[in-house]
Amino acid sequence: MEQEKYAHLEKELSPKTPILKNVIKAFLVGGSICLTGQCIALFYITYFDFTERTASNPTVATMIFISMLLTGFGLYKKISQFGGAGASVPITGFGNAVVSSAIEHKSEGYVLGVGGNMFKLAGSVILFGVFSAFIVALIKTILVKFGVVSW
Amino acid sequence: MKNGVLTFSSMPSLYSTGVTAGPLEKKKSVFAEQFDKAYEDERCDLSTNEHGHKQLMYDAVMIALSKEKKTIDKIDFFLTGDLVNQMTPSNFTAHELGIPYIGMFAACATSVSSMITAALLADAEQARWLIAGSSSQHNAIERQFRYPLAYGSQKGATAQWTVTAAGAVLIGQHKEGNPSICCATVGKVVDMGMTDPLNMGAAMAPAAMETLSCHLKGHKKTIDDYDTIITGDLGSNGFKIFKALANENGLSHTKNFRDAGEEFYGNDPSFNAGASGSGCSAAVFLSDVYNKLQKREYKRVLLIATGALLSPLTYQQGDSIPCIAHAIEVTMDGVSVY
Amino acid sequence: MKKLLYLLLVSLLLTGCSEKGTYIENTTTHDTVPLEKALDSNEHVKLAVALLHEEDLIVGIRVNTFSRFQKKKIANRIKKELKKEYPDLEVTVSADSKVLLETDQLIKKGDSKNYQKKIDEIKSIAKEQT
Repeated sequence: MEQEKYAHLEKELSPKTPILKNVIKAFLVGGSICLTGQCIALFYITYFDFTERTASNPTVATMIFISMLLTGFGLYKKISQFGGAGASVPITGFGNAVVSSAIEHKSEGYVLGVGGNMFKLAGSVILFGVFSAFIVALIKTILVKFGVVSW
Repeated sequence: MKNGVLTFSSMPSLYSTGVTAGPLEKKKSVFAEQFDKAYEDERCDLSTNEHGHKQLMYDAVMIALSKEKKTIDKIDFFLTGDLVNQMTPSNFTAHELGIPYIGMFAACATSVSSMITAALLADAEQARWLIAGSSSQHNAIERQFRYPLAYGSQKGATAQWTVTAAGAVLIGQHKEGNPSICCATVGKVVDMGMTDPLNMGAAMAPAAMETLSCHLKGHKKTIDDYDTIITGDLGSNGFKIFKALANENGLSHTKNFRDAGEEFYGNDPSFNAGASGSGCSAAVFLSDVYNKLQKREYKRVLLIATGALLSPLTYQQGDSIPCIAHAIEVTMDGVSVY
Repeated sequence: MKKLLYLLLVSLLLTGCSEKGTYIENTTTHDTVPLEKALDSNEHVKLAVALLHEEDLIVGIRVNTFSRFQKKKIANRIKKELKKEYPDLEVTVSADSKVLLETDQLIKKGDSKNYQKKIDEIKSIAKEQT
């Protein structure tokens, strides 16, 4: 049997990915995570001396702390299985990637295990995050120079 | 040309089996009652996953031996394998047991490949007693092949769950009334160009089909000669494709087909397509199928264990997933048909 | 259960848009009509709280959801406009919700002796974020 013919058969029989359902679930889960973040930000603005802008730092730290706890108790995995990208895209997903790697490699010691592998999954997020931020900033700088937009 | 087809004229027998499993399997598996031992802890209360993995295998061997009241020093060969890098859990088990050891690797088909090799050694009268088997441990394998355990990534309906289980079987010269190995087929590596490691059932199904038709042709059998033809860990999706392939190959009624991976967790949707791992086929063959043979519910069975021969490196480099399947025929009929 | 959820959702959506208006507190002799006009006529502004006290004019605004990306620009535009109207006052306009919140609290407390101290605080917050 040729490969193409088999690929055709396989495609026919394998269950289809329910894209619409996944998108809706991702929207709901991602939305609730962001809503939680917004509530925490409001909490910091109302009860502490943070402005809308400066409140983002403690908010992010709190969200990562929550995701760390959820990862440790094995709950974040379940949220992700349900929510997909809705759970991976917010900062909590990043926290989950870092913490899960750290937990996983604890058995190999703190330096070579935890230290060496902690950013195994999150490393590419950092690299491409920094890189794309650089590109965007570059584009904006050029546009500002030419007077197309202002800062 | 032999084409991988083997017959064992002395018909080595299975004497006893030992099956151990993890806590999740104890709770969720439909075969849980037939397992000899289940742990409360995924790591068997040891410090690392790999130690737990080793303990699973070791205990399975000791249980199989104790049922026949054999001691370690009576055993001539120990043939086993698993999925961890360089098969360290099996190697460490072999060290602890101190039995002459041949490490076997055929991914999830190891359960059958080790039994075939054991039967060959017994048939050649090079050994009186042998232990064959394989094992897998969810945490150790997931970390090896996929993401960290607690990492959240959405798995589709075709993904399978690596089981924590080990199976070991004591094989010796033919004994009337014991399930005996009459023939086997060593499979070819089949690659149909599947590349998705989260849909391994689809990658392995053609290999299973290849080995099944090779076995039927080589031994001049039909599927009606068997009370059941049970595949290792195709999962619900792979099993569906396997049956479709069988239909295309003229094997129209597939009533007596079973798949250990699909059945393992009782079709629980939270495990997606079912179970996988080298412990899956070993645990089911050596508990459920073995018990049914002993109870004479089955007289002749064909065990086809399938293995996906991939590593994280190969699929990340874009290679497709080559797969293998080995078949072994176990029968309660005393007299060989040959 | 489902009905309750819908009810909650709808009420959430409704309350999200209901707060609208301009609140002005004046302890000076300045005329507030041009201020009110400037704030009301701006289509982006959803809610505004303004306080005139001695030498200061503090305005906290909340902009419409879809204007949020330009909220700084909007605040600056209003600031320029108000400076023209009140040349002898030190004008502070901010779209940061912290400024809005603090100004609102200050007015609601009505403790006019503490105004100056608080106003300085709010001004430093508003400056910090620009």
